[in-house]
Amino acid sequence: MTLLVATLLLFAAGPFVLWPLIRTPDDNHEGNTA
Amino acid sequence: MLVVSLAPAVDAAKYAADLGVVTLAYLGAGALLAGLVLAAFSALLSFWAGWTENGVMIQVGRRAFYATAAMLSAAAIVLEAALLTHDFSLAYVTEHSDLATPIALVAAAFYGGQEGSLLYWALILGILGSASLVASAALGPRLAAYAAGMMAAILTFFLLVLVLVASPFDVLQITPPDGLGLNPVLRDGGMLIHPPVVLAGFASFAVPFSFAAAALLAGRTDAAWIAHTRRFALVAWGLQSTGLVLGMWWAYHVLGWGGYWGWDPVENVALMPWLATTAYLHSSQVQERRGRLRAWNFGLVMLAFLLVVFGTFIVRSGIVPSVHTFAISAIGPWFLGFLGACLVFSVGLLAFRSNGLKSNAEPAPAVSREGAFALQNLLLIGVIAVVFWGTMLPLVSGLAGQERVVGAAYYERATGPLFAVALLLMAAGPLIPWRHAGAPLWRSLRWPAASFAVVLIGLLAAGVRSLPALLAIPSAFAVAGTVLYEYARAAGRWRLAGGGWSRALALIAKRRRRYGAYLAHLGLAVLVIGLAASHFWQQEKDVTLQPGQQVAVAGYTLTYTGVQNRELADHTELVAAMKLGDLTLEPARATYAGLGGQSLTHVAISSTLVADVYVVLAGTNSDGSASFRVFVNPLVTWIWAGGAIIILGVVLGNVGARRAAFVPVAARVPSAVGAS
Repeated sequence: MTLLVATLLLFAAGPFVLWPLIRTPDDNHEGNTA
Repeated sequence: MLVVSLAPAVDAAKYAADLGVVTLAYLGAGALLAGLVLAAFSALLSFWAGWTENGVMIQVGRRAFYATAAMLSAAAIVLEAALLTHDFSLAYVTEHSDLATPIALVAAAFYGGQEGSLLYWALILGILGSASLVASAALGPRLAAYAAGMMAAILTFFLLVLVLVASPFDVLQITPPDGLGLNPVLRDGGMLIHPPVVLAGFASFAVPFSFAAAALLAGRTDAAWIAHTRRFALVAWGLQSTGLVLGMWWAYHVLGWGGYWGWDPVENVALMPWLATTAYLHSSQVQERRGRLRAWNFGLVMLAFLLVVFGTFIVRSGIVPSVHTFAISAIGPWFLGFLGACLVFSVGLLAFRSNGLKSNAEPAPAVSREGAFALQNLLLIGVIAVVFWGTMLPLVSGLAGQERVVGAAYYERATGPLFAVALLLMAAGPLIPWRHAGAPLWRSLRWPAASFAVVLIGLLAAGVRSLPALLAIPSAFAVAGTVLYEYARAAGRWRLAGGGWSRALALIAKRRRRYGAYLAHLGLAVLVIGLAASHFWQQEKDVTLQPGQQVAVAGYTLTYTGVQNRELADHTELVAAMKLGDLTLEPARATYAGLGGQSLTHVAISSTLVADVYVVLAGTNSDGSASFRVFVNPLVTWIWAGGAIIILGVVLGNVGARRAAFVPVAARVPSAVGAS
């Protein structure tokens, strides 16, 4: 149960923690679409 | 269990409540586990991203640190909610609160026990660490990333302990109807302020340590880290100063032995990092101004943190006897391991970077501000050594076969001369110029010297013959003399400039840090006068009185009027009233029936600026008489006032100030020779 709660909390924290990666444009991806 | 689970539906509400409690426990434990994962992730990622200077990953690592702080906050809220709703299914709530305890003290039980205080510590580090990272942009990405990595690594350790060995969220098999309650000594208003401040002080030393280690790791041994580290060292120092004075105040008002400082191991381990940081706050100026003492400054910041970890190990492992009662638990070996790791890391890092820490500035003469700071640092390190070995003696001698313990006399005799020289240095130091001293020095020293001489003559004339008293009190007045002389000089400059409010404010703002520091010096002088007077001239008398009988101590006459019983919410009090002039003092013995009849004394104190009359009820007899211990403690209020002035000085001198733009003295003064 503790593990489940911890996983859910980590999942919830994901967008905040990973925001710099989400915000930064992916060079390869942009290159492919261009 | 089957029978219980098939119980009638009327118990459904109770099961729902139990489920709620269990969910609360899982929520708290889950938040701690998530915090552990995030802290470890932040530590590893920050070091790696700092090493590779990967800007995006540095930000991710930093955000993971912020998220760790958020998880710790969530866990803290859950624990506080469990305490306030009396969820006795949690072992921690049962062990540290009960239904009869006033609600404010129930809330304070959060940091009243081992597990909760560790959580509180980690929470403060998370919050202060986050604040320091937000403010660290000017230091460059690599240094800030390493600092985040260091703080995250420290939090990882704390969270590991919280998750594996000292969880505040352990659930009891059977939920008791009531808790065991808080230790009666802790059932006092002091519980609401002293422990949180002193624990926050302890936790905050990790921030300057992390920035110092990060600067060394990043090879940034210039003065840039000093300004940032100093700010957080000052926060730690301010918190610890407040915590120490509050601790003295609390001990004085609660413990009933007439004193405020007993050289208990717990007091000692709180004093040592404070002394190391006091040394750093002074020696860091030498690096800011003159580019010297770099390795020393790094060493002091690291020493302060190592002393904090050492202190935590000593206090919480229970290996040294102390009046502070943390239950002996399994966390001792963990903290010993952590202390070893921090020690090896710090010494290794300093040795690794030692080449880059050598100063290229020319050495200063002995009589200079630099020399004064160096001597003051050595004296404070000397005090730390005395206190350290006094604290460690039971352990070290125990290993050798026979356990030995030193008392207050050892500490007073060994630290007294060191403190006396430090105090004289404090009087002279602010007047000694940087780089070298000339004739103006001797002229300006006449003010503290005159203060010293006048007070010394006054004391001798009053019949004082105790050498320590004849040294301590005039020295404290000399410190005050120096501060007042400096303020008078500032006022003189202000008058020369034409006076006016705006000029006064501009003058203060320009040298705000300096005037704040002088105010702190003045506070310390007031505090030392209070310490010395109450220590050297305390009077004490044991008496047994019948109602109507009087006792006189040091010119104060007390009349015993009789005894009465009082029933209060969680205890009964036997009050023996004493008349002191128009005042009624009510020393009492409190008995806590709910705690197996534990009893403790309630001191009655009448405070004035001149002296405290401090009455302890030793016992009552069947014939109506009562036994008292009466103390008259001169100038104790000066100690508390001095503490308040110190904190005021630190706050006025630093809070809201922009970073001080220092011009190194070497660049400002064209020649060292002939400046006088």
